[in-house]
Amino acid sequence: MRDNSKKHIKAMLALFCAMFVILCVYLVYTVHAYGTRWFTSPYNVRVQAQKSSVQAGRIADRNGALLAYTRADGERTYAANKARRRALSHVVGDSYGQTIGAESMFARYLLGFDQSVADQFVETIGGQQRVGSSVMLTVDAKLCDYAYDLMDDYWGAVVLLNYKTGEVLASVSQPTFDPNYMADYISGSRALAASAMVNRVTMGKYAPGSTFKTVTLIAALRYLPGVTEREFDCDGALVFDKSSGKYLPDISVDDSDFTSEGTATAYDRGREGAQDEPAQPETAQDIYSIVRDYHSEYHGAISLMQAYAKSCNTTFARLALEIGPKRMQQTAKSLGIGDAFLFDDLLLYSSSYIKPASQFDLAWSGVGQYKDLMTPLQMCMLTAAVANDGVMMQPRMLYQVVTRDNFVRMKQSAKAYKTILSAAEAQVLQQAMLGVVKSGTGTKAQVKGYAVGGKTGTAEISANKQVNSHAWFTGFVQDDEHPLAICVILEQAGSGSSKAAPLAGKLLKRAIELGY
Amino acid sequence: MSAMGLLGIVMLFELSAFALLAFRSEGFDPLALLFALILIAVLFLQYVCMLWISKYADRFILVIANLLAAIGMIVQYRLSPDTAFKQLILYGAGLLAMFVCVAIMHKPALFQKLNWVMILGSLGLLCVLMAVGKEHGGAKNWITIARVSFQPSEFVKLALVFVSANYLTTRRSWRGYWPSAVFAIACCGLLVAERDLGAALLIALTYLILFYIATGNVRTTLIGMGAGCMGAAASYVTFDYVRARVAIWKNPWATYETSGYQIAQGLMAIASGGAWGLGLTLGSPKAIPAYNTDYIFAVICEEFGIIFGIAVIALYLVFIIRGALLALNARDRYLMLIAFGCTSLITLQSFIIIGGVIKLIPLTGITMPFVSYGGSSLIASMMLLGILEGVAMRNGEMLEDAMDAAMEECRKEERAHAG
Repeated sequence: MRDNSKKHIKAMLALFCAMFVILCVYLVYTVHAYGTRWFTSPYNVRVQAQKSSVQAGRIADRNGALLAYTRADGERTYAANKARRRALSHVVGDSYGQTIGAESMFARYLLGFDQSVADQFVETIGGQQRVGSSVMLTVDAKLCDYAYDLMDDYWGAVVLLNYKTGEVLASVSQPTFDPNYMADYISGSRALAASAMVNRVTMGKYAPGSTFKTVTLIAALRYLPGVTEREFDCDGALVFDKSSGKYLPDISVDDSDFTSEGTATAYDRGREGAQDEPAQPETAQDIYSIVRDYHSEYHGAISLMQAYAKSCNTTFARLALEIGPKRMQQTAKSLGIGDAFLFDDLLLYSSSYIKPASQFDLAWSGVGQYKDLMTPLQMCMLTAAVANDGVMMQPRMLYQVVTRDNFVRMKQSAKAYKTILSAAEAQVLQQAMLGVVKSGTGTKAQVKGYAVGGKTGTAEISANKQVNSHAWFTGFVQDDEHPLAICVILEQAGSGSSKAAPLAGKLLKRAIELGY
Repeated sequence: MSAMGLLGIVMLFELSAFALLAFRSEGFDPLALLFALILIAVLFLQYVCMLWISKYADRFILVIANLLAAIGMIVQYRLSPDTAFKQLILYGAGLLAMFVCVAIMHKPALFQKLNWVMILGSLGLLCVLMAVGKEHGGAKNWITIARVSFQPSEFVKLALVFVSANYLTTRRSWRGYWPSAVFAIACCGLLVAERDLGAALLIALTYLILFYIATGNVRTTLIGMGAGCMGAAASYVTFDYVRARVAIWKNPWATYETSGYQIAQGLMAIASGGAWGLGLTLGSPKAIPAYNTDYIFAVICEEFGIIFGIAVIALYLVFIIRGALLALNARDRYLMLIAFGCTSLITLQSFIIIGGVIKLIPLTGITMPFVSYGGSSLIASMMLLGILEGVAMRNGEMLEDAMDAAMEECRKEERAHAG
């Protein structure tokens, strides 16, 4: 009996040891994974408290252009040029903790939390004012200025990154604010657009429209063998039963009977039903729902690559139906859609693909018009991974940290986030995207002398004809010297091919000229 | 490392920490140095005393427990010198209680005689608590008698160890064990009703561990665990505050303004400290609610750093391993169960609170043994230490007796051969 007891004691002791090891491992893991998030939280009183005892360091772009500094009187001041302040406001952030930019993400360095106790001691004893390190960002301020200029007054987001290193070279979100006037915005003495403090690049969740066809295409390559050799018939709208959402392959309708609601997003279908007047005789529109092409232009017999280049809705809706909701969802998940990101340098919201319930919803989800939501940065990362042979890099904002005596304390290196595509898949997608810019909907994104690939999108956000669509373009330059990936979204600007693609082409051209 | 060397390092640590505290503000604070000297003197004296009582005293658990208490008092002094001095007095009372326990453990049968006193006393205290207890941090676990507040649950858990060890040693079957099980369940029920979830969890798990060790009956132990889980599930369904705890654990940031505030503040403090800490006196630990009691581990991580936090966890682990070794070396079942019961209490209590603070498990308010501010907690922990030391001494003496007897036997045999 006693011997058994001792055996049990040993077993319990082993359990206790395991518990304490878990405690240590979890402590290290959790601080490693979430520490930056917790530290940069606007609730963290330590950051604000540190500002009174430590002079915050400077923020500059990758070439040293000054973006933020602390004046001798302790006032935090931003770039001298007003347009530049506004262009980079979301990247740099503000000193009141209202937005999540470099000011809060890199407060650890700027406010000297990273200095060793010995350094702090020497500075304090020496009677010097403690000064935090300076931070250089990966962005090029000139490129940001230019992107801001190109966006005009459209709301939306532009992001440009190096797909081999993950460095963000430009990131602009509109509407924007001027960090010099943050106190006035808070007090209300200066007006500001309601969502101006939201960084649309990382936090804007948009319906992706046709840019989502890339996801459907990847799913088709994975689950429908031989799909690249097949020919599709794009001869008219796909018809669905209105009440059940079931696909009716044998029925064809004249889609001119349908008002634009037929192609409207899933969000609006409920509203559309409510608007129906019961007194009217039953028309096709009351019985059926349809998936049709943009401006009802059908493409006839078409190959998969052509369908992608021409952004053929019916073909991709058919593909989505064939693939099925579960495998669509699996593909989206494998590409990182829905991942909760914990990057050190920036706060990126999750994108989402919600499994559609009916065939009608499934068909629309395949062309990015169901409840799919993407952030511009994630769309850019997806394109970047295609260009980078399937490897998605971690997006980076921090170029290097420089101490007050000009000593480079930390230089970050490129890190892969995950491999989302096989090299063979990436090859096919690169060809498909090059086709879009060469002869498809994205021709306006061409840059002379360079092979540019991409995908346009026109996300319809309302049944109302008066409201313009969101214009999307995401693309890349196929060039080892200039590994650039871009994503542009202009809210209510019109079609992706006429509004977003030209902007992307110009910005890519400028970036190549600047040597990126 | 020898225990003497460890003792020296602990003294050096105490001296340097208090020296830092003495210079923290403008001018020099001689009280901090006085504090350090008192601590060092008390540590040295009790070390000598303990070894004078018996050379079999376990030096490691003594020094480790004192180091943990010293870390606690350093943090208290940094937060507010007044509470640190209060804690110092309580620490003195704890030392007294420790030596009393050592003395009683010389005749452990005494505890067996007190069996019913402990049962009725514990249940009585918990019932009185229901009626007149004072609420503190959401739990009703304080009694105030003549302006002295104390937390009965801290002592009930010790009673549980003795009562269980008694029944599980003297009886041979479930028919004999049942009073101890009823006692444990009754304590748990009362504690849950008083919303002292941490203590309830501690008592339930400790009893199960003791039961398993003593009987080796896996089936009954699993049934007990199942019943415990059902009880936990039932309390999740019935009590709003249990549900709230779990919700806060899942995402403290969602309710930052209200119930998630404490956990979120703790996490920010730990994250701000980083690997090496912000440095003693350089953090903002007072932003965390319960900074000197339940949340003291977050304060330690903030100012001393995560590496130091891991060292504290390691200290507990060494203490626990030594405690378990004492149980393994016990020459008598009763002592074995008592030693392992005390070890389990320290293990579970430190795991529950550290795990809660770092958000590994839902937070249930409980003190960190030896470190947290609070008389009941510190005195109970010191009593635990005294009991373990008592077991160590008994182990040594009994081993000595056994060796003497064996030697005598040998001599007899030799004489018989010679004759």
